[in-house]
Amino acid sequence: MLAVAVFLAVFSLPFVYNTFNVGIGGAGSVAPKLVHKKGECVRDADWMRRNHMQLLVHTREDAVREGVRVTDHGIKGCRTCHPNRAEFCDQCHGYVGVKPECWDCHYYPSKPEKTA
Amino acid sequence: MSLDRRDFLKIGGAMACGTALTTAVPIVSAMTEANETRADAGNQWAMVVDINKCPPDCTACYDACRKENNVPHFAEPALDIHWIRKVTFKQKGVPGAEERNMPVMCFHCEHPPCAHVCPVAATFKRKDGIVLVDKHRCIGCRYCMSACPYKARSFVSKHVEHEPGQNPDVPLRMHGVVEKCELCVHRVDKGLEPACVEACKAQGGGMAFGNLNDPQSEVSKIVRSGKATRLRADLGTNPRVFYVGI
Amino acid sequence: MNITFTKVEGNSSGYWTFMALAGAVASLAPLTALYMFINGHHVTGMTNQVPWGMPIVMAVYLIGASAGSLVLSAMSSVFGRTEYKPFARIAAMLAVLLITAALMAIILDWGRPDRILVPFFHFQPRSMFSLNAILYNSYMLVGFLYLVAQFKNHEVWQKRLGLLAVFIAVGVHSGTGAIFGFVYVRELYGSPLLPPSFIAAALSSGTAMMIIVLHFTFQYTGRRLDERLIHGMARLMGVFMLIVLYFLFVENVTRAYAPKNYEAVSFLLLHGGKYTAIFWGGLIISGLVIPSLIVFNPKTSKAMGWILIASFLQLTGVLFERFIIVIPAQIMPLELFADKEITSVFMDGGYADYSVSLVEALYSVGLIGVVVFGFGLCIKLWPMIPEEAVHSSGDL
Ligand code: SF4
Ligand code: SF4
Repeated sequence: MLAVAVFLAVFSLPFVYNTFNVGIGGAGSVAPKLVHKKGECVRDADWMRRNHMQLLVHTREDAVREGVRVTDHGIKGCRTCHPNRAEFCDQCHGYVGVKPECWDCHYYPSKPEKTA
Repeated sequence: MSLDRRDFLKIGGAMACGTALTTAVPIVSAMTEANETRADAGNQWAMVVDINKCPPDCTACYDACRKENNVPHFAEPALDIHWIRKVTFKQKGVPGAEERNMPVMCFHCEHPPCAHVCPVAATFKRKDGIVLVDKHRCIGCRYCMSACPYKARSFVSKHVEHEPGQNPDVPLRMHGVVEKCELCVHRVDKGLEPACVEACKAQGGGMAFGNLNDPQSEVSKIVRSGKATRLRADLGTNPRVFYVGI
Repeated sequence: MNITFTKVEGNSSGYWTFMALAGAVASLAPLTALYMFINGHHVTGMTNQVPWGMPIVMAVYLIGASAGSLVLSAMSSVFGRTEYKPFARIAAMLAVLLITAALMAIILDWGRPDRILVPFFHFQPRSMFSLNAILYNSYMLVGFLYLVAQFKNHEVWQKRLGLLAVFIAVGVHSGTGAIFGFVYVRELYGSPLLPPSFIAAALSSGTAMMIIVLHFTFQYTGRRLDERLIHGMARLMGVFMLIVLYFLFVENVTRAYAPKNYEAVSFLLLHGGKYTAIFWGGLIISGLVIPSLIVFNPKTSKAMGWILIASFLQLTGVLFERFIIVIPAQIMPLELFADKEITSVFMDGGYADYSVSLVEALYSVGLIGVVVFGFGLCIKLWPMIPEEAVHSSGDL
């Protein structure tokens, strides 16, 4: 009995955590609003919303390992149309409570650069 | 649409995880359209350093490397990261031997022991001979550091933060992975020379970079002349960085 | 001969205190690992000069003890030494626990333990590490199945799995030795003798550990242990220790013969400061010579107290041996030229230094705690220990 209780407590930790922190519908979450830009993305918006990470991973592997430098499918490509990371990546990731590590290393300013 | 092994594994993994297969397939077809690779097996990049032209106090290549590649600087010498370093050497066992300098970096070995020992193939040799660390994949086991004969590798043992003035073209490194000289692969893929070579040339120094397969390139001419040597050639790793004047 | 295995009651306050203590110590391992991961490895004594430190020493040590105790467990079923039958279960269980702790030691020491799944997706067969990952995991599995076969009292499968486990144990050991032996650029690593000498040290430390574990388990659970069994094991340990000594001798003499190794060998054996002290004091004298003297001296070889001392010395001696295998090779400078002296800001040409930091020390102790905690748990959950262990040749 005790074991089951402990298991349930540990198991539900992420849910509890998300309810009280960020996360869909959690406390303090603001529904994301994507600032629409003129022009087309490399895929339609709906597809991108679900699958952009796979595209990015694939581009990453090809770029690092095979030297395929197709920038428009990589994060440099994102940066050209969405110069502001805070409005683009961060708000949605914050809303769904995922923390990708990309920006620990890669350069993607959260404010648009003045030049360019 | 062709599936390579990696895609196959990905899809397998996706299926195993219960993810819909349909999400993985369209990507594969998209990527094979534009498969323009800059890592051409016809190019075998190499470097020649004429150390007779190294003035004793010159640090142009080291400085250029740190700046170009955002190499972090840690205060403790044992933890600091060096992609290229200045080594002073003199003849052993002779009194009053003359001291000389040379730059030492990753030699992009033809048979890289670092890549052979890497359990996840995070370190690998690109088709054009550049040995790279995939820092997205490296698990930080540090086997490669034990195996590299030239101490070319450093472990990132601290957090590194973005700072103004860094080169936006080169990502920083997360802590817990191993890194080393990348032969400025981002520049080479654009058709430029590595930053150290560019800085050295600007000083009138003796570094040259080029394609070993191209008989007209400066490096292949020097290497063919037999005047260039490699470090620890006895190990059979066949470094791609040659020295003149040791 | 019929042996009845029973669980320990595990209700006494003594048991719970023991478990609480062991649990607290065990929790040190994940906690320090988390600390290392959050802060980065600069909190440890490991540097760019000495990338492998105490965690790797511990991993190698635990793997050794694991293989050693597995071979002991197989003594009865595979090699027909039925007098060791009462210990088969404990030994097999310890083998599984130790290899688990060893894997934990390796993985938590990675710079990115969060990438634990990466090796499953990207396998690189040329790396000794990947091959070892397969070996360790299959070893863990076979050891577990072997244990199950013992519980089911299935003679045939016990034998088969025991034999398989012994083979894999030898493989695990050779593989672990090869991790270092295949690094050909460092004089003190690259040696074809490393795999076999690893096995020898594994067997002696495994036996030493079993002696200690058996004695205290039987004592504290109030069961009878025939001392003659321990005497036999002590003699076995003595033989293994002599083999270890022999390997060390051959390895160093071979190395010392080539002039290019003069520096490395004299560093290790003569002027290496703490490394030399550990080699002679910790490993040779207190780890091998004194225990051998104890177990081969007729006066002390039958006294439980002396045997325990010898086992303890040998157990720590092998820890020092692992330290001597892993660390000094990294302390030695790498030679870029065969005949030039070099210096640089990256400490080329100089001896590096390594001291065990507090974090690593706690981590290592924690790993042992994990094994002890697992042991306490298993003897409560399953019938591991025999009611009494008597030498098969009859009662005293
Ligand atoms: S110099 Fe070292 S890191 Fe560079 S390729 Fe050779 S072995 Fe690998
Ligand atoms: S530290 Fe990284 S690059 Fe080096 S061997 Fe391990 S996984 Fe490979």
